[in-house]
Amino acid sequence: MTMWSRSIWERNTMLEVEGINALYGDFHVLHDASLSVNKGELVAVVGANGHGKSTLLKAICGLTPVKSGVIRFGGGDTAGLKAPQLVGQGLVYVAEDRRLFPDMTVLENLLLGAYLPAARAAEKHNLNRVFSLYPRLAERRNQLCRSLSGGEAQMVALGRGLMSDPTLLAIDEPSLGLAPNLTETMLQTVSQLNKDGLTVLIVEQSLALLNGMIDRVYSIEEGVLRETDTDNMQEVL
Amino acid sequence: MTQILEILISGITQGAVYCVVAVGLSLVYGASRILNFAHGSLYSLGGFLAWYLVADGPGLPLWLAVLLVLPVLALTGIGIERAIIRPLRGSENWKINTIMVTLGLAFIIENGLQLVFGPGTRTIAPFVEGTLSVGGITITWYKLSIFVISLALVGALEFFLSSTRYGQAVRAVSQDMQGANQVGINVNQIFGLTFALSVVLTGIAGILLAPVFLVSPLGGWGPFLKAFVIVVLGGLGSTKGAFVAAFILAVLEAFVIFYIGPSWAMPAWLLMLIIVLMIRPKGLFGVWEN
Amino acid sequence: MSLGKSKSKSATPLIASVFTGVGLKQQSLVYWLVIAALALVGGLIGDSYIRHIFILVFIWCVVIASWDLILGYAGVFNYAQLVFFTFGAYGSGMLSIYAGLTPLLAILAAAGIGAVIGVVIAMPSLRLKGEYVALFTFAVHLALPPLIQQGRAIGMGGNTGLLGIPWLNLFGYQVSPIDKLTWYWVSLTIGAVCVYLIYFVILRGRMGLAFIAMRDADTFAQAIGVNEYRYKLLAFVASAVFTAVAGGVYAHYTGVVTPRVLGTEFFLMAMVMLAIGGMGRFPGAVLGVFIVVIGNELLRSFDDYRLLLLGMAVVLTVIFLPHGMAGLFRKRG
Repeated sequence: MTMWSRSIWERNTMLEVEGINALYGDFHVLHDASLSVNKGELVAVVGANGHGKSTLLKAICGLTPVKSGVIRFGGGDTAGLKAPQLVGQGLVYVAEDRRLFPDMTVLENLLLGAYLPAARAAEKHNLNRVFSLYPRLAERRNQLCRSLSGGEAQMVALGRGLMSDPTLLAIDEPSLGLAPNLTETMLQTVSQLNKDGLTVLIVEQSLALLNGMIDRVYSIEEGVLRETDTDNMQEVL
Repeated sequence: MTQILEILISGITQGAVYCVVAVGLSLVYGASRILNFAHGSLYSLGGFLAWYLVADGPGLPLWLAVLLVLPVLALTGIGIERAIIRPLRGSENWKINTIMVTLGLAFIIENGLQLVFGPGTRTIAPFVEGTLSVGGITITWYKLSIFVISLALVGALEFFLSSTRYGQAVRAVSQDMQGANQVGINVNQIFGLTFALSVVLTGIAGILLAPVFLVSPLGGWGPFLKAFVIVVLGGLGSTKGAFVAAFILAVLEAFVIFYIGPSWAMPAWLLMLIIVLMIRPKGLFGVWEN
Repeated sequence: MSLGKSKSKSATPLIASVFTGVGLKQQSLVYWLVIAALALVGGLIGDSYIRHIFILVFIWCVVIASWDLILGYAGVFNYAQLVFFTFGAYGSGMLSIYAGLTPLLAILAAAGIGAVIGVVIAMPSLRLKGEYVALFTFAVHLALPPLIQQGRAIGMGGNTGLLGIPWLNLFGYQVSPIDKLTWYWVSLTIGAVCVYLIYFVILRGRMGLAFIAMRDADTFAQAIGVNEYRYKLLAFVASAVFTAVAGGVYAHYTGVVTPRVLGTEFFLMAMVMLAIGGMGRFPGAVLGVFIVVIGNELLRSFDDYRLLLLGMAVVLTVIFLPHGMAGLFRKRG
């Protein structure tokens, strides 16, 4: 990073968070959190449960209100924008609890990912991509999401996010509720997507899971965010 | 035997119209978890507007009146959502507050109608006269046509929900609001849409039943309660369930009216409501309620 | 979850003040001083029409306090409050007409009738959730007028109503409805006692504690073994008993009961009182009664528009004043 001139660095910054504070009820969850994600990076935020990881991601994606601070996405201030508008700009959130539509089929869920006009244009292409990524979803396309296993549900959640044609995919703890081998496959997929050019901001409990695939990592503790060296982090954990 | 068949047919034709009122109620509940107590008053509103245009005011043909009333009903629905429901969203006592405001709205509409048009009942002449007799069974052409129209309306709604983008968005909002937000659905817009559709459906039912049940400012409570019983039996939020339940209950009503008397119809509905709530509080097909 | 967090904080001081009895004595004293002042005012008012308005206020206070108990405090969406009132009025009236019961005894019997009706409506209601309860109870309300018409056979008078209900007899003294001053004091006494029992005895006892626990921390309440069903049933019955008493008093005051007590006007009035006063925040609901009854009298000149205005008042207060008048005094509750 140091070798880049400042102007280039700025041009490559996709997401920039500066000193945001967020409350959950009366509970102060995020304290002056700052973070940046550059184009093409895979950035992780790692921390234990209840330290504000999810809130950080939801705040960035316009799903939870921010008390103060600035969030810039693609150069523009996102203040006042809600999730639907941000999705339209390519900032897409994949929830830890999947948030699928249980009484709709896999295909319907995926197609709803391409609800907005911008994503709709790429609907066919993205659907093929998801199905080639997860042939299993193609087989089960007419099955109700209610009846899917945890691993399959996570596939639909990620697939639905991809259907929104993201420029930045914010993934909230994909390992939640998954068996270790499924988690590994899931994270490998994310890594592959990143190598293919997708910018990713991912939140996880443990850095060990993300070993070797991330560009930069932040640790979060009691709502305080800090950029950490991956090696240092390894020691801390 | 013929008599029983006639009662059965009368119940089935009636059931189709009840179903229209019920799916409207169910649509709003499914999407926004609001039980709209003004649903019956909006039914009366539809009937009154059509009556005014056809019989009282400019004397338009019914089809033209319906064409004019439809956008008014849709805008009314959007206006209700925007003006009195949305300000309450996220409030501490959301549930009781929505009950209070929709009940208050019901009284506003009723008394507004009474002020503008005066109390008492009105009627609209049926758009077809005469009866059809097949094998000794007689049915009026009018009942047959409102049966067909109602089926078409419910079918159109079902198609809208299952096969169009906005319809899918309605279902998505009903099943997971945050999930809907995440994929870029403007949830408020969908709430407005469901209210618009709901008011249109109940208003049309009010027009269709005007020649049968008459229109009066307070006349909406009956259809509202019936719609509610249907929705509860069918399962809140399930169009399919409402469809089946409407026929079962309307046929039961037809038998009660014939064998016990018309003044027992309402108590019978209440009894059915209690029985349904006791035995199957989730309804036959309650799918949207997780 | 977020609600639980923020609420438990605000609920803590409330629980402390309500259940350690701190302030109970002073507040009772203030309450009875206000009542005494009202009693005095009754003597000073010369106009019998104004006395009449106050008599209605006192009767309404019992109905609304009872409704507040079940809706605002117990959190049961009961909309059959006027059903209890109707049973009390008809019950008391009929018992004194047909069974020759002296009115005071008849009103007492009406309380018993209220208890029975309370149980009958509570049992199915308490098996249902939120808005289902609202609809079921309101359906009962709507179904009652036709049944009263059917009840002509047993002397309910049908549409014209129950006529010739005997005057109140206070230990040998016949209180005519024209004797507004005595009626003022009678209704004030009954109203004051009922409201006191509801807000200062029932809601400050175990039941009140249970309701606050259930409202603010449902799982916590279940964990400490609050028997929700039992307390809600008791609240229903208490609410019905007091309301039936109010119905009985009303019957003997007006001498006539018609199905109009279940009409739109009374129901709307009751809703506006609760909305304007504020639910679950004593003395909000009771203040709401004063405001609405007096306001309604002032609106008499707009007779045609009165019901429309009342309906609008409900909607507007719920939207713009979500905690009613009570919310103006207390910033957080």
